[in-house]
Amino acid sequence: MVEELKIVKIGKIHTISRFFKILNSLSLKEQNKAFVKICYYFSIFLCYLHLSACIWYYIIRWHDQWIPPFNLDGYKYTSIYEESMLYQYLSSFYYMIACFGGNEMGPLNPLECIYIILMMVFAAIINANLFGEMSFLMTVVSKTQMEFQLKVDVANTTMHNINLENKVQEEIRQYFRFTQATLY
Amino acid sequence: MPKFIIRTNSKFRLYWDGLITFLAIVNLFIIPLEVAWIPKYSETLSYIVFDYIVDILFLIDIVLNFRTTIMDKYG
Repeated sequence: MVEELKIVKIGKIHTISRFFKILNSLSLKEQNKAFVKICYYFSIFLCYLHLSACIWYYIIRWHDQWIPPFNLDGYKYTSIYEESMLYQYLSSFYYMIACFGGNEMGPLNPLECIYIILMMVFAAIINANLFGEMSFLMTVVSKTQMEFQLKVDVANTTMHNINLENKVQEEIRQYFRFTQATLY
Repeated sequence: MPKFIIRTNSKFRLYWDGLITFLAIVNLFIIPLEVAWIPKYSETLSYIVFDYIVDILFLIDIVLNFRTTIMDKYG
């Protein structure tokens, strides 16, 4: 019971929200900040998977009944409960990713069923919010590149229309590349 | 500025927030593993000492939060 009470320490997780305060006080370009935020959201996703894998293992250890779907081949035997901690952790983590994608988990008692239902519902919400946020940040990261490409496209079209010499066209393109490379 | 007051935008506060965020992430990984698997390393002296040090740092963080300025609408 003492071990279970240690889960109360997870309450400290709210301090992770200070990350944005730290990020805002750093002098980074907008694209670099967006990239750091993408890494932050990805690591939050990994933390979510890690937490759900540990809770899943804790639940299945109560009855030692659950059989991983890849062992459901007619014999209904699994050695997962006798394997090393690393194997057990990786299996739980793997099945939590599968659950995130809406795959069959084969829960065998009401508690396992309730947990899987909740995980699938949370997965749908997280899928929409987290990956939506990350895709928006990706557009911010590539914003400068897209603006540069637009300028080069307009310049190329104009140079072609006014029949500029090839040598002059190449010098203008080099000018664009140089200003883009030294842009801060 | 009164004594023992920390500015919210000071370097010390920035480094301290970084340390606390890092320790929170470490706790987020270690505590569920400890509760679910009860691994052997959680009974070693070095791990128990590390655990207590982290708890003490979080307690200090609570005290520091009471002695830190905040940014209001007047700056």
